[in-house]
Amino acid sequence: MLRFAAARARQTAIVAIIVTSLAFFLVHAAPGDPFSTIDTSVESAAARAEMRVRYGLDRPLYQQYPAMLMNFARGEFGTSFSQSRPVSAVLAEVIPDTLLLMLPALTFGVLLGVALGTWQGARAGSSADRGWSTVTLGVLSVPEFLIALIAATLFAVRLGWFPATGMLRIGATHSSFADLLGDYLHHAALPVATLTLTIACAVARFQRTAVIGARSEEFVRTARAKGATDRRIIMTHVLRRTAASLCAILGLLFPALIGGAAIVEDVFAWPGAGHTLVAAVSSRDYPLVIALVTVGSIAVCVGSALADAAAAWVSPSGAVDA
Amino acid sequence: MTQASRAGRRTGIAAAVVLAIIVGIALIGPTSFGRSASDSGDLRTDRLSPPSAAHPFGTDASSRDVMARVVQGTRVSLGIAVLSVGILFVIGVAWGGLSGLAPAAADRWMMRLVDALLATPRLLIVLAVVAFTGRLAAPALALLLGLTGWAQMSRVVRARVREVRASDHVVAARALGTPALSLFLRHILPEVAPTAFVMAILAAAAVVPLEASLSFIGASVAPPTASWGVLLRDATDHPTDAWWLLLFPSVVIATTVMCVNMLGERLQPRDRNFLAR
Repeated sequence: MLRFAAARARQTAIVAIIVTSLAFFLVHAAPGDPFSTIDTSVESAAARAEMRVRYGLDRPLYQQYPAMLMNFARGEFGTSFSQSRPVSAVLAEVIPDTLLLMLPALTFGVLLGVALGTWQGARAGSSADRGWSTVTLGVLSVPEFLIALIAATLFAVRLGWFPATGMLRIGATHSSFADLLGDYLHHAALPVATLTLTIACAVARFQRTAVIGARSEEFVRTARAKGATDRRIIMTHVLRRTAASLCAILGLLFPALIGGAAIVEDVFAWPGAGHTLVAAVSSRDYPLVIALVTVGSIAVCVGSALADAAAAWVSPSGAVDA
Repeated sequence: MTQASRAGRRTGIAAAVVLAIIVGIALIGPTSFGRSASDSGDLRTDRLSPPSAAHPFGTDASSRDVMARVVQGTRVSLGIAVLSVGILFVIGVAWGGLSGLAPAAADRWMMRLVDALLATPRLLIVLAVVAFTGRLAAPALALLLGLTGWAQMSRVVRARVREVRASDHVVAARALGTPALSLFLRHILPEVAPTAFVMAILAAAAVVPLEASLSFIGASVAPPTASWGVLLRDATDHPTDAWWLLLFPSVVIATTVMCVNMLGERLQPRDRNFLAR
């Protein structure tokens, strides 16, 4: 297990370096830089050149790139243009808020998705199964932000059941922990529900396929010959079998999930990393953008590695395959 | 043929027909309906008017006809999708083919790059680039989406090439001394092509929502070009008083992507779960 962990950590590091390099070189291959849109009638060309020097953008790429990697490795992300404070301070503030959104959504989404997918897989081909397949495909065909937008319009603006934006009441002092928790839950309901819905539908589609595959395997025939009930076959034999591929699929879902969650955060003005990223892009706050993209990519790499480790751990054969 | 597969065939055909209609309308364009996507009507009387005979999808805050805007948006969004899928198709097939034929060590490194790309949140990379350049022209955006999206294609193509490479006719052709390039183009590619086309359809189903998300947050094509996401962004300015601004573009996006997904699913061989590889 230790060897597996070491190999996987090395792989994750390689992937993380490739991802940050990709971000860096794509960004620099594109024309322009953060200061090329500064209005020269207000700021002189000299001021622009000075800004380039200050942020090291005048140096050749082969010098900028290692400098950036070294700084990132030391946890130095520079200073945010738009917030005029260290990027690391911004990160420390927004990442916990993003986790407060992602973790519940991921938990509920996976649980609901596995339940629905297994239920469908157990009665594959029936009209109920086909109906639910259409529903899940329909949900996945709509961009997440659109679901968020419809939810906000319907339940927040029209019906007024939930607040449309934010994580806590603005300027509120909470008398007790229960009050704080209630406030958070009230605000989190819509964004968490939106993300849960898309995660659940994606997971359900994979789980359904996996259950159908596992049901035709020989160990299921053996269990049936032994006289095990359908319920017991699904709950103990089939679910055990599909757990590993489920973990692997979760690893593949992370990249799309992080991107989609960023936009959902923005729709609900949730004070997390995604909302901050969108604001940073429109204000061309390039140190903050690069830092958030890097952190997001590393989060995906770590998430995939954890998913792979979980897949190895739950695999019935116990195969640990780096 | 079982009842289920006959039903699957019918939905596949229905999806293709609906898609053809949407693409056809987009190709003809809004002007042939006697409408313009950019002309404003009378700002006093036509502003934010609900759907009527004159404006079946209503008008927006600048008195523009929403139906014409949706048709125009379909042109832009589908154009970007087709171009970017074309780019990722070429790169993905070339990279996957090379990797499938390469010796084991080269193959391993080529696939490691693919793994890295698969682990990359595409939306974040595109956002990073847009932060640097400002809004892009539609072809530049398509190029960017193509460059960041070929990993899945190349992975599936590589797996298929490895399978086909071991089949008897390829081994025979190789034994006869067929040069590597023509071995790939004439003996391997024809067998890989159906798989690659299904992957292209699935890639299109992924890129449309991605582009919509980008233009929704203002990181996509520069105005006055309006893609689907731009229309939805405009709709957020009027959450209570103009439901038609949100409804019609949403229905068109959802219908299009769902049809593409259904088509991809229908054409996908039953025994293959591409993403699980």
